[in-house]
Amino acid sequence: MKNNGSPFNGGRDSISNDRDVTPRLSDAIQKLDDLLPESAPGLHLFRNLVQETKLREKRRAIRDLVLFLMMAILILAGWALSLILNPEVFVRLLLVFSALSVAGGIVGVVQAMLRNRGETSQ
Amino acid sequence: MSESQWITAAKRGDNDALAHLLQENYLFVLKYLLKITLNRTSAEDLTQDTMIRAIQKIHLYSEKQSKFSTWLITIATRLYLDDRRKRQRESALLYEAADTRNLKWQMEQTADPWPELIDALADLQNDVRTAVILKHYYGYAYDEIAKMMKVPSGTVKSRVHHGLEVLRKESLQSEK
Repeated sequence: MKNNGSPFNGGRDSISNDRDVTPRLSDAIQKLDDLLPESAPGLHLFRNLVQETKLREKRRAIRDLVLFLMMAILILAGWALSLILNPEVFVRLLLVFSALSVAGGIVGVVQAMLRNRGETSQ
Repeated sequence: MSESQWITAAKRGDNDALAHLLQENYLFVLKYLLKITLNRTSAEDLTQDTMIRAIQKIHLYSEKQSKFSTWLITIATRLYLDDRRKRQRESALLYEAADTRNLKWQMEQTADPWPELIDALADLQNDVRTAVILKHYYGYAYDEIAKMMKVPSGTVKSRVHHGLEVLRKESLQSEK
C-alpha cells in the first residue's frame, strides 16, 4: 500500500520512458479536482445515510427470513402430506431429492476444481 | 480519536463513527471516481453506491489488509467496472468512450484550459484507464491494483503499459 491521497509519485516500478507522459498526465488529472466542491456534505447527511441503509438491510433480512421460513414450512408440509397420504410417493420423492443433492454436490466440486485449475494456469 | 478508533467503533455498530469515517473519505472517493468516469453525475452516483456498500460491508473490513481509503477505492473500482460491463451488455456495445462534454463545459467556465490528455484518457478502455490512474496518479503497486480489479498482476501491467503507449502517441500527435 502506498500513497492514498497524494498525486503522482513517479511510479516506483514503472518503465523509465513513461516519465515523459506521466507527469503531464498527472497534471491534467489534477485539474479535474478543481471542478469538485472543496468540502464534503454535512455529517448529518452521512448519519441519515447510515441509519437508512442499516434499516433497509434489517428489513431485507427479516423479509428473507420470513420467505425462507414460509418455503421451509411449505416443503415440510408437502413431505408430511405425502408421507401420510401416499408413503410410496414419499419414498420416491426422497430418492429423487437425494439423487439431485448428490448430483449438485458433484457438479459443484467439479466446477471448483476447474476454476482452481484455470486460476493456477493464468 | 484516531482513524483506527473510529473504525473499531464503526465495526461495533456505532452509526456516528461510521458516518464520520464516510464523511472524511467522501471527497477522496468522489475525486477518484471523477478521474476514472470523467463524468460528474456518474461519479456522484457511484460515490453514493460506494458509501452504501461500505455501510453494508463494514464488518468485513480488516485494517490489517488495507487502509480504509484503499478499501473504499477497491469498492468504488469494482462498482464502476461492474456498472460499465452491465451498461455495455444492455446497450450491446463493444465499447463506449467516456463522455467528457459536461466536464469540458464546466472547465470552460473557469480560467483553466481543457487538458488534451484528458481526451486521450477518455478514449482508453475503462479498465485500462482505471489501471493507469491507480498506478500513475495514486501510486498503487501492481499487486494492489490486481486485487482491486480482480485480475492477475500481469494483466494490470500490460493494461498500464498499453494505456501509457496510447497516451504517449496522442501526446506526441497533439504536440505536432
